[in-house]
Parts: sequence; structure tokens; C-alpha cells
Amino acid sequence: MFNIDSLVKISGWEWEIPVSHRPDMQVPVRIFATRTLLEQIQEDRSLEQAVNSATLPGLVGQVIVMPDMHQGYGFPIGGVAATRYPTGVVSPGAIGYDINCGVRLLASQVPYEQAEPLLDKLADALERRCPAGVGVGGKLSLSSDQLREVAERGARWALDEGMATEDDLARTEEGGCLDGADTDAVSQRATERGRDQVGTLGSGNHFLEVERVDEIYDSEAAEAMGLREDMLTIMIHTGSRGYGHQICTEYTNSFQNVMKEYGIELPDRQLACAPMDSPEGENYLRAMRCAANFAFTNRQVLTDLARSGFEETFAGQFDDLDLRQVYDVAHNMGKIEEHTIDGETQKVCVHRKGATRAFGPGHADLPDDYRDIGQPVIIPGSMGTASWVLKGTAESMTRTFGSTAHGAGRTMSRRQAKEEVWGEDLADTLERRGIRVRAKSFAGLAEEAPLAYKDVDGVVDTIGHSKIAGKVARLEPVAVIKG
Amino acid sequence: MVRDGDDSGYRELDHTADRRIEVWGPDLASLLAAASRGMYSICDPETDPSTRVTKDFRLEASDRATLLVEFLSELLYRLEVDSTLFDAFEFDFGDGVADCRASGVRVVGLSDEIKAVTWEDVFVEEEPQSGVVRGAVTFDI
Repeated sequence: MFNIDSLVKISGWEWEIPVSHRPDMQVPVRIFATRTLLEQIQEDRSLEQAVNSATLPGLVGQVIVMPDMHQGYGFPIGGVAATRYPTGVVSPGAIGYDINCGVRLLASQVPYEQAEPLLDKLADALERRCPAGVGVGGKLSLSSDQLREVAERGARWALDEGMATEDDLARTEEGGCLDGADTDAVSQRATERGRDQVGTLGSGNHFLEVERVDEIYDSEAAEAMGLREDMLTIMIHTGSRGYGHQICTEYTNSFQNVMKEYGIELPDRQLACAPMDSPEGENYLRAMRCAANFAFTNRQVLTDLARSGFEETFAGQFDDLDLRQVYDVAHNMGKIEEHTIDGETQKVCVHRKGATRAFGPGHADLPDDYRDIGQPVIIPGSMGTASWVLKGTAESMTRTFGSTAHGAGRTMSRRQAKEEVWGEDLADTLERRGIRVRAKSFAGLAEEAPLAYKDVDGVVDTIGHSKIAGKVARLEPVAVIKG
Repeated sequence: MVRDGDDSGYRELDHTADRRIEVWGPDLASLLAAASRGMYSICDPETDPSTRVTKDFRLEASDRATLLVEFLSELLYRLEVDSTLFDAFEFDFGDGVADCRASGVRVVGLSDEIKAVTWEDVFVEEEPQSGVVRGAVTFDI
């Protein structure tokens, strides 16, 4: 267990592990957490993993960990690390197997009170239309050529297929397509795994949720995002499915030998990496961007399916059935970005694993709607608890490479959660609280029980005090569809 | 929870976000077979025993821990793409390679999904006194 008394306290919600902690550290580790959250964090190996991550060659600034941090594999969940481009390394394990796992929020002008009698029907319609669960394929089975288009053009492919609007793309990180994707760097195996998975939620912690806007904290930002009190929203959480998992698996495995060629030694094999300017590093970046584009398209197709379910349910009941996209943001991604480090603007590869991009006001990459207020940040809660909409800040740009947290963060293992919670009992409890549950697996439901997660409000309060994002709105769940 | 026979088996260890198992056996082949059972137990598959399937594949690995990751990654790929669960293995170990003949049954349903076999603290080692081969591996869920 990591001794938190050895941390350097910067403030009540910011701590540092200095480079003197271990000789192989290249940069310090900066932790955003209250002491209470730190006491939960030190129960697992996440701080040790953060220190291991601080040994990656070519790091700049600090390795940053967010208040929702918890133990992952190699790199901690809730971690951010920037390496100098192009001479630094890229580490697939510091991005994750579920490349561009992310979350999308859609806002409606349908009021909860009037929609409430039809919410069971809405949950059924969404469950019927949005494939979820282990091994469940989608309605689309793509040819190799179509999958290549998805991988190289991202959500723009869905636009051409009539499943997206220009407004959706403008309100998606990177416009729903990372440049530089090249399917020549993607194996046939990844293609096979991805072929019927565009437009599927999957299982684990992935979900589709209907929410009610509970409280507005920043009326100007909320208005720009189309969020109004008591109106319904829909949140979609999924990623690149088997396509991304296979890409990360193959590159992480092959980088075990690549590291030896470049004389790189690391304390954890899961952190395996390659210089970005090496052929191996360049190929991984090309393949990783394909998976990122697959995930943007996956969430876009699910958006189209959710819209049709929403319209089917409420047809003739309300005048405005538009589900306008608030934003779509990645949680697991490696991106080449410019940041100011020690007063100097540098091009770096920002690895975010279980962390969200949170660009502040004025950033050139933001759409006009958000240029003045900052990028929307979506923080899903833990099924049964609130979710949050935040906005990026000037402080997030200077202190965290334009990043913030991504969710509540687990505190309990899946096995322990299943031992302590009965899935059907949990579904009954949630139903009694007015949260409709549609789950393919009660065991899977139990794994994701709220008690397995930190208090999301505490995580968001820490973010707010640290000023690495600002509160915009709080959302309460009213229906959950899970794999 | 300990499973399997007296001389080989697996048990699950605690992990905050993912799933980790410890595996053991009298030799490397037994350990790999036990690891496959441990991995499949996480997915809790429903199988159709009426048809048996055999598959030959070659794995390249510079050490035993790498072999464990490559072997399980291969099985995971076959589980997702071919819907096949292998329950019997023959291994031929060479210099940096392992040839495997695997036979098994079709899978008709899974309760849980494993995204990938990770390298986090993966190890395979032989106990000097007993000769038992022991290892551990973590799965991304």
C-alpha cells in the first residue's frame, strides 16, 4: 500500500509524488484528490502504477491522475501523460484496450413530468433498437471496404449513410474523425472482430441511459449546450469494441520485443511502448486512429437508433422531438496536441486513459457554439447515481494538458460487487427509485452496482475546487439499458 | 475459490477494475490448460457439446509469461470470432515457439465479456522445491 503521508501536499485537493521518490521517474506525478479520496485510492495499486507510468521515455511536465483514479493495468485509470512529439514514446497500454471508449450526450426539449407515463415504453424501444450484451452483433454487417471507410473517415461515413447530421459532427471531439488513420496498419483479425459491431453497446460498464436535467449550475453554458431543467437527455457510453481490443492487443504484444530493439526498459510490461518516430510507433498511431474512428462511428450509429426509438415513443405527444447532440468525448485516446509546458509551446502526444479532454474557452478546436464557454465534459455516474456535465477551463489547459476526470471511478472489485449485490434485487431497488432497468445480465448489473464506485458528486466537487473543469448541470437517471 | 484437480487449477484474485487469476500445474502444459479454464470461467459460456472442433496454431514467445499471454489471447480471439471454447490441448514446445493442437466445442452464449489479456504483473515461475509451475494473469473487462 502506498503511504499517502509521503506525498507532497500542494493544496486540499492537489498532491505530488516528486521525482526523488524513485530513481527511474522521469517526471513528477500530480494527483488531484481530497484526502478522503486519497484514502480510497491507496487501497489499490493505482499510485504505484502512476509512478511506473512516470518512467516512460520522453515524458514532459507531469504524469497527472484524476480524482476518479483507480487501479487499471499498467497505467492507472484516470491517468494523463504527455510525451514529446515525435521523439517520445507512444504506449498502447497508456491509452487502453478499448480505444476511444467514450461518452455522448443528447439533449431533448421533452419535459420529464409529461413524459414520465411513457418512460417504460421508451426504455423498451431503446433496448429493442440498440443492441447490447456479450457477443451481440449489430444490425450492420460491414464489408471490408465499408469497414475501411468507417476506420478512415469515422462519423463522416455515418453522415453519408444518413445516420448523422453536420451538427452532430461539429459537436464531436475532432469532428468524429482522427486524421492519419490507415487500415494498412490494422490486421485482418481486428477487421473480423469489428465487422458486425458498429452500432452495438457491448457489455461491462457500457450503457445507454435516459436522464432528467436535475439542476443547472451555469445557465449560460447550459443554454449553449441545449440543457434545460427537467428536460430528458440520453447518454451513450461505449467504445471501439473488438476492433479496438484486437489492435491494442497486437501492438502491446509486439512492442514487448520492439522495446528491446530501442533499448527501453520499463517496470511494467503493460506499459510497452515505441518511439513515435519509429516505424512501429507510427504504425500503432495509424491503427489506433482507425479504432478511434470506429468508436466515433459506433456511438453515431447508436445515436441514430436512439433517435428513432425516441421519436417512435413520443410521436404525436410533443412538438419538438429533436435529440440534439451536446457533445461526444473520448476517455481512452492518444492525441497529438499543442500545449504550453514551462512557458514553451510544444507538440506532444497526450495519452488519456480513463480521462477526458477538457479544452478551455477560446481553443481553436472547439465549435463556434462552445468557443466562448469551453468544451463540454460528460461525467457519467454509476448507474443509479447522478451524472454531470462540466466545461473545460483555462486552468485545465495550463495544469492538466486540457484534461479532467471521466467518471466516478471504481472502489470495489467486480467479484466483490457480485458477492455483495444480487442483480435482481438491485434492479428492483432502482425501479422503486424510478429508474427503469433493462439489463441482459443480472450478474453484469451487480458488477456495476453503485456501491462499487466512488461518490461521483465528491469527484466532481474535487474537479470544481481544482478548477480543472466547471460545473454546468447535474443529471438524474430515469432509465438504464445495459448489456 | 480453488477449482480443478489437486495438481492443477486456478483461483481468482481481487482486482479493482478487471479480473485476475492465479494458475498452477505440475508442468507448463498443465498450467496453460488451467489458465484457459480460469479465463473461460469468467465468461461463463453456454456450450453445445454435440460438435467437436479441432484447431492447430503456432505461438511465438521468448519466455513463459509471454507464452501465457499469447496463448490466452489466441483463445479469446477464437472465442469471439469462431465461437469456440477449447477444453483439450496438446503442446509441442520448441525454441521460442509452441505448437498447439486444441479441441473443443461451440459456444452458444456468454455471460461476461473479456476485452483482452493484459501484461499487468503477468508471471510464470517454477517453485524450486516442488517443481510446481505457478503464474498469474489479468484480464481487461
